Amino acid sequence: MNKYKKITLDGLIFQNPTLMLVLGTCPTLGLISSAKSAAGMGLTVVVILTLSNMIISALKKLIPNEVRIPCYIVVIATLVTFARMLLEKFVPDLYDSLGGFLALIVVNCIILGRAEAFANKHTVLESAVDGIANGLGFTCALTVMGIVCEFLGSGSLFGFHIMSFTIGMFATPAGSFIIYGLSIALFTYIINLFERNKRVKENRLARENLLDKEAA
Amino acid sequence: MTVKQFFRSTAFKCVITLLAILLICGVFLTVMYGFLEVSKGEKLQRAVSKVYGKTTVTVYGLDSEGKEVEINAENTDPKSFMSKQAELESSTVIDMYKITFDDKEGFDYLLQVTGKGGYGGGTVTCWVSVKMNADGTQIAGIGNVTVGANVGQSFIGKIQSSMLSGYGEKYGDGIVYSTEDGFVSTGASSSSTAINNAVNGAMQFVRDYVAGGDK
Repeated sequence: MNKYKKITLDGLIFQNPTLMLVLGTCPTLGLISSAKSAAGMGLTVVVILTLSNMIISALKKLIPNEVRIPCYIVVIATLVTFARMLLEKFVPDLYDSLGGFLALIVVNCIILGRAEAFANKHTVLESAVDGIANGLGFTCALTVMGIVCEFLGSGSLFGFHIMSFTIGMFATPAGSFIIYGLSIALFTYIINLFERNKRVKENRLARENLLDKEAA
Repeated sequence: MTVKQFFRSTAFKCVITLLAILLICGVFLTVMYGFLEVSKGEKLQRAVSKVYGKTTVTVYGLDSEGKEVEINAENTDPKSFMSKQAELESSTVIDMYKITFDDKEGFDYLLQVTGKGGYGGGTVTCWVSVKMNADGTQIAGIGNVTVGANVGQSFIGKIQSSMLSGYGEKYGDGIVYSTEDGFVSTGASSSSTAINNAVNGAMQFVRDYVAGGDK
């Protein structure tokens, strides 16, 4: 059980693909000016990442090492094309708002990265958990940044108008870049603070144990 | 290398694996496309509901003899008012339909137009409703404009609804919409240009059409 907890926490927080590993920067900068598009892109990536991880993990013994990358690309491209068909059929508004970024998921380094670094070395279940965790980590990061950018840049949240005061720059990729940088800084600071507190606590416990042993 | 060695070689295994994966993926996508294809009729219905919302409208096309026919659940295959696409300077008019209203007089022309001059030379396809006066001889205004497919417009999501609703509000006889006159969305100025070209193209085409042009 601990193994799955570690995979989940790594994907969501400690190895968060957007804020810690700085992967998937292209869709991040392109889409976080709208919270709705950001969340839509994130959820699409969750589905594609989970399925691609599972398929690649299942096929890892069949695919020769020499052609593994072309095989991964073919699998990912198929899933992306399938996702595009589904979105165009059932969620046309989201399909239109994602524009070219939807097709660019094929070359999203989070998906190829997880296939290469995780899925081809682990079981199908572990790969599925990793795909969901990393996908949700990506979705949460994009959505939170999308909410901030949309609020500042357009004065709205998920398309609902809230205030008339706006700072136009935050509706552009330049504004997205600033919010992205600040988010990385804040997230890294919080993680460092958490790890430092954890280390201090561990050291204190170790010292107390040592003192107890000496006293005994 | 003997034939037997070739069939046992890694190169052969690689080729076979890649071909097998390609074949499976190709068959899967072909089957799925059959189920998930968005037909022309479905696209028209979506466009009508996006442009006119909850207003009850009737959509008309032309039959093979050039008579107006209603497009409805029984007659789903849309027949445009145009025999072929019309290439204009900055846009391409793809389709045109006539829209009448149950609760008011007059009619609109609903046009599907691809505007050129977008980001990186790409295009934006829009649905533009052009309001006509009572006798259908002059443009009375621009109704709703909705954005559909695009080519290479990564920032199409930044197009604001205020820009799209602004065409009708600032309509005037002979007007040519441009980004310099405020018809622009921050962060997507090139895509805004393509949308302006689509709206201008729609008006130009309807003007020519009612004057007896391309029928």
